[in-house]
Amino acid sequence: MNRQTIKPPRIAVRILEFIIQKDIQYGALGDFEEQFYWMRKEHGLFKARLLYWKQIAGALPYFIQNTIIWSLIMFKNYLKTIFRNTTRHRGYSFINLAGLAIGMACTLLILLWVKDELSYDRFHENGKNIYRIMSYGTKYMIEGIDGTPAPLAPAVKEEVPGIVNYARFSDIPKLVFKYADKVFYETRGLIADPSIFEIFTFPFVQGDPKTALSEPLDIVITETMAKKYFGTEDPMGKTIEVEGNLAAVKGVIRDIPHNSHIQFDFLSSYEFIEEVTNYGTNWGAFNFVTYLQLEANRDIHEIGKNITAVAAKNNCPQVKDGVEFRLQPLSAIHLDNRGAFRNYAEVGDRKYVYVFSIIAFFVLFIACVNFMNLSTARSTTRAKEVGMRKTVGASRKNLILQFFGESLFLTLTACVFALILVIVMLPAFNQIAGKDLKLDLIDIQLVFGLIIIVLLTALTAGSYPAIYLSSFKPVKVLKGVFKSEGKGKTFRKVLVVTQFSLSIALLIGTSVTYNQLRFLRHSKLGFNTENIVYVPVKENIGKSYDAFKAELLSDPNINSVAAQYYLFADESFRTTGYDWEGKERGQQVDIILNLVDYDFIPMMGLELVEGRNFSKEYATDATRAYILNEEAIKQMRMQNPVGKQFSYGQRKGTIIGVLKNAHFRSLHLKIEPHVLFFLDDVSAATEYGVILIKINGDKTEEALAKIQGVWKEFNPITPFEYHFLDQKYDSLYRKEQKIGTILNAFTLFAVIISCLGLFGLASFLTEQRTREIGIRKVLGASESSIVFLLSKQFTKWVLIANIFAWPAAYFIMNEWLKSFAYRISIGIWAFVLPGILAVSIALVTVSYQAIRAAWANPADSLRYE
Amino acid sequence: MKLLSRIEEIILLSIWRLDDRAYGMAIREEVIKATGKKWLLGAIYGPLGRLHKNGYVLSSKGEPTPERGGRSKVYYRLSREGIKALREINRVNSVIWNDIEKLEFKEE
Repeated sequence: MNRQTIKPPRIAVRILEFIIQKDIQYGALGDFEEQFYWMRKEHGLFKARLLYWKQIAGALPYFIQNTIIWSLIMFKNYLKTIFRNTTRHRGYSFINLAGLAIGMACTLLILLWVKDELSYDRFHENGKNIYRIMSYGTKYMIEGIDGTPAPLAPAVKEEVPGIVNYARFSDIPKLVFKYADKVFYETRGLIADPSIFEIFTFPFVQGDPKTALSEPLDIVITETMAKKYFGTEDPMGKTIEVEGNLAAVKGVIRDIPHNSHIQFDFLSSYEFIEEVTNYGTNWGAFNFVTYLQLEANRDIHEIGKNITAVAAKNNCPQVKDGVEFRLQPLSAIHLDNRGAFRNYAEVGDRKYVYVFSIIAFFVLFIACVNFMNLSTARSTTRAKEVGMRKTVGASRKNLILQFFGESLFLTLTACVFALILVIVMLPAFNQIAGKDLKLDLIDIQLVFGLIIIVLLTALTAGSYPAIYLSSFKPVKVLKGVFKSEGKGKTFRKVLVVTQFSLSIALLIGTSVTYNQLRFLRHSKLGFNTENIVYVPVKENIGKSYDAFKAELLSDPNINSVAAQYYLFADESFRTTGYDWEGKERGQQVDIILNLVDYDFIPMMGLELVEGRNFSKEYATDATRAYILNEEAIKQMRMQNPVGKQFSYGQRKGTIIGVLKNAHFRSLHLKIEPHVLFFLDDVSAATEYGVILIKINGDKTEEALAKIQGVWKEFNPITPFEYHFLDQKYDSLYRKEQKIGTILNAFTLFAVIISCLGLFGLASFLTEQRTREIGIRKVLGASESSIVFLLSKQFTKWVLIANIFAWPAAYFIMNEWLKSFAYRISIGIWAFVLPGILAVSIALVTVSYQAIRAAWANPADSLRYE
Repeated sequence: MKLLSRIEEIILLSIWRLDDRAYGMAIREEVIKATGKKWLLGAIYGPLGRLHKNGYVLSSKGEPTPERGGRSKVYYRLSREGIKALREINRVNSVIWNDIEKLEFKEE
């Protein structure tokens, strides 16, 4: 019984089946097994197996001689056939090749993009064990922000097991750096613990990572920054003047790779902030980003809970109110970074990675469909070849292999063109996508991806032709009665409909994206952004703000000047530390606060629904007045707010006005509660403060020249810098705009490929009907009726494609729109227009062929009958 | 007619000699006996397959045995063509081996 179960090695049996001629295989397998059986009896299982293999090896020489040599000869014949077929039908070959090449180029570009998106933060040696602490809490409406209190990390390292190290970051406002005659604004700075170099892999070019940030005024700069200030000089130990402080360069590190979510040009010591603030002991200020390096294989949920417990023990007020801490793995940060205080690097989005991958697949599929369509449509021309091959002894397997081989060969050729296309398009794509992608053909992952794409394409494109063409019966085909069968026709219809469904869905996606972006750009924010220039509050400008303002206003091209503590589009300072008349027990409202001067509300064109603006006539306005927006009033559940008591900490006052709701921040977000204080002392706003200047839109250049002149006069040291407010608001949707542009490009390609295919198909089918058309014309059909006849079938398919495309596109685009708090509703036109567009493009494509056929002289087409 | 290769010839003869016992294993034994060389089992099937394809041998199934994994033995016998081919070989051989007694190495 046991001997029944012990079989020869299965792989060996398969090989044997492969190399031994079919008609004697049965007996051979039996003999081999018998041999195996006796061997096992005599020498034991192991030796029997070895010998079994050895016996098989004996069959190889004959096999090689007889099979492979013949295969090579056939291969040569196949190559010849491919070559003849491609050159004989240049038009179709071009369509096939162009479609496949464009499709593969798109897929490759997207592959590069996706690969780059997934490559973020993978270069850190400890990467797998690095986590970021995220804060979650419903009460403060905090949905996973990366802010944590400064004393949290040291306490956690002390008390929670499993933590190897920690590093804290905080951002630094824009600073002026001065070395000799070189003066620049530096915006990309971070405050960090020295341990950053132990946890993260930021290699030093010069300096010692252990001591680099140990003194309060130490800084570490990147190579690029070192070159900017010191040129060829040795930067080590040099001092840079940073807004009155002398900072010593203690290290130079390599430039930060673009695929790091932590980006900076210089690092300043944590010790510095420790000296000037009390953050180190303040458990209530969530203004540090904390990274932990854990021991391997720790349970991060457990550690998250422990961290929350430590914060609770230290009376962290937010934790008492329900905030809890969780850990986020380093590798997940780039694609899930919505909650970051300030994004040092471009934020990715997992959703777009998926969407683009799917689009890449679609575009490639559309190209494959072309191939399938044209091969099956042209099957009549290949039918005789198939018949001949079968007659002289080709098996169906041979033919299937032959056709797959052909598609593989074409795909490989297309791949070469695709690579060239990618090289050509990459610079433009990089610009659109804001990336620095490179086509690196030594990269194993990429090459592997490429091979998979080629194989997949060859298999998909070749599958139907291979199965369909190889099934022809030689007798039928060679008799000459062969006509392409109904089955092939139906399949072609299905393919064309699928192809156009995908194209139309992409077109709808493009149109919805475009409309939503236009909506964002043109929707009423509730205030003016046009012709407003803003400059940072720097040095003397804060101190002599009134004189600065008066000087600017003396110019007729400058309409008004206002100061603001920070720009709404940049930051949001939020807190719940308010009290008001009628506040319910335990009621907390998270209100964004900002400070503005008298001219802010009129300049921005903000509307007050109740009450009044800050005014010089009321002396108490400077310290006692509050203006809130409608949302704040609503969330505070207050009736008749004007005149009611309102206070922020010790600062008690009254509400003097209520602002109509306006979109101060991105339209991704719902309107939030806001409160405006009066900005009495502009010099207190040097960190983030801005001066807004409304200029005459027709005289922009003159106005800017004036502003620069005044700036230089008040501020000879710091470089002049200005921005336009409307551009700032536009930039909030930069990511969507990029995505929109990329989507446009790929949609265009998809439509082009589909049309190429349709063109090929139409020209082929029209060619087949040449005689029919001739006869129709002889019998009196008009040219227009023939054009109609020929265009009708294709138009019908494209119309049917709409039926499938619409619901799918509606579903997907609706999901996308949900990421905006303010969005368009998808109207019927978003579907109808792309539908009409697709039908008309298809019509134009087809009608060229149709018109040509209709105008042809029937005498020519019927001559051979 | 096409001449057979040496190993094909030996296999054909072995099949004839084995009469109704000629299946793969037995043929191999016979070939080994005739040539004095260790023939791998696999090496038999290439030539045997060709002989079969060209119609020199016919095959028939015998009884299944457990040591063959439940498969039947496949017995081979010579076809008319096969016998003709062997005769032909024999004829050619007897002509070209005619004066074989005189075969000797001449020292010079």
